[in-house]
Amino acid sequence: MKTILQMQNVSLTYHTLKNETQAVKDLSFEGYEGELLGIVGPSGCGKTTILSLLSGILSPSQGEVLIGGEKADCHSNLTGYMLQRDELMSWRTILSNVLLGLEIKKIKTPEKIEHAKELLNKYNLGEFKDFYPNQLSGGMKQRVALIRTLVLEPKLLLLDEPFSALDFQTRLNVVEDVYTILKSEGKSAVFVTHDISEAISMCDRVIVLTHRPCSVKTIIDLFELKDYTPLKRRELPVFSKYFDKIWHSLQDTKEKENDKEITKK
Amino acid sequence: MTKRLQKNEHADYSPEHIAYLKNEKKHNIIIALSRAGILIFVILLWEILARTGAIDSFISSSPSRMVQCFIELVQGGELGKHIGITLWETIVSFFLATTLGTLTAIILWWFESVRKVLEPYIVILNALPKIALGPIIIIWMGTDQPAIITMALAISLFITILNTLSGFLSVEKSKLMLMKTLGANKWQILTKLVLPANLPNIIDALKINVGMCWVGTIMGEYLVSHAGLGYLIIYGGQIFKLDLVMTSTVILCILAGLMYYAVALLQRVVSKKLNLE
Repeated sequence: MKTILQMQNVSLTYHTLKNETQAVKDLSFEGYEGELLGIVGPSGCGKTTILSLLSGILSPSQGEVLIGGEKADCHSNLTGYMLQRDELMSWRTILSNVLLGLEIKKIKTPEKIEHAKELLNKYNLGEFKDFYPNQLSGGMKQRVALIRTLVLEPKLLLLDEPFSALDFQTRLNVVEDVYTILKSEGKSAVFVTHDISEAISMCDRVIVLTHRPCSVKTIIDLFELKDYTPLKRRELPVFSKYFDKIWHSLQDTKEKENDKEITKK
Repeated sequence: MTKRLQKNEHADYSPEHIAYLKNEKKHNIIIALSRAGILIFVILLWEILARTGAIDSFISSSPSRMVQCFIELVQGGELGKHIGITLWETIVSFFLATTLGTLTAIILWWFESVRKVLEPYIVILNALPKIALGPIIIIWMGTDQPAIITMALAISLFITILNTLSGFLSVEKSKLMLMKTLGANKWQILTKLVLPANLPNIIDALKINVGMCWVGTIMGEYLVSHAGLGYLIIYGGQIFKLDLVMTSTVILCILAGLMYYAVALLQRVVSKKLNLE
């Protein structure tokens, strides 16, 4: 399989007036074309930092971040970022929200607009293209946000807990929708979450991170689930097997962390 | 999915709902009548008390004397001139305060270091009672309209800058993150996010500005003017002609109210057009 992303011995240190924090330490992993790569880790371990590194908003202190062989850069079209909330602009219509990225990158051509309309039609949002965000449900808005990312045709999608703001019922459906959209568009994506079952229901592989400064604890291949959609996966017996595996792996990192704190005291 | 999008315009209302609507309508009528009633009651009471000699109409004037005074002013051809001058001064200072204030806020938003350097100065200038600047303004700007407009500007400008700037700075962090992930530059962040997101704030600032500019204009006219409603009021006071004072004050009330409603109307139109709420 072709690699689409490479993290090579990446470290990152944040500087504030009060102190400096090492958020990422000697982190290396790869992602493959067409793959949904999940990243789970203890809260505050720097998951979002990894996405910022991949998107090129942050540059690593050490090491290299490559997307499709090129150095990550936020002004290029290498990655598309999907945030926790839809962040649609309330004063723009659905279509014009979808076109925002094209406007900013100054590539709003008639063909791209046509492409955006096609995507909206394809994912059942066509009739709402002249509506405003407040007229749509939460799940629909999150789909619009995904299409806003897709029209830029990025090589790699970065999903930062994109379902955490939705209620549970909606979330299950939107996960299903997003999964179907990503697979049918043949997109590669990195999906960051703190929700283990969400990671298992969407991803091809899951990377478990250690506590801050984060590095790779273990990588779990979900090969037994590969041919199933998120809702189907939740019904399979192996689902809980994977859940236990990731859960224990996360517990490990937490217990060690607790031990450290106790010895410190 | 489409449920939340439908509008039930022609729904068949239940009798209960019709009764509810009727009740609401009745309530609104009562409010409107009470509003008008208070005005009529005050005018009548004032007139009766003045006519029966319970109050001295020399120092309290009376509605009929005010009407008389108004007619005299109109016949003398003076009134239009005074209203025009005051309106002109207010509108000019209103536009100046709004544009200069918004532009300054944009500059301070853009250059963080400039903002940090200037912040204490703006805060102190805003806290200063502007009327204290009266003598300085007269000496520097003369005793004519420029002085009045400067006074109105001094009163409304700093508050506009501070309000608008705080709106600019409170744009959601997550929306800024979105713009960054899309690779937006500062100009794009300003025009595509900060300004449109702040339009309601800016229009709210306009509402405050209308009031501030009236304060400034009248204050300025008290200080230096030869014409205008503020001049009429201060002149009426000096020659103890309370009819003139009261009449001018009532005209001022009406004008300030109308201007406020014009801005409120603008706000409604813009909000509707840009789907802000």
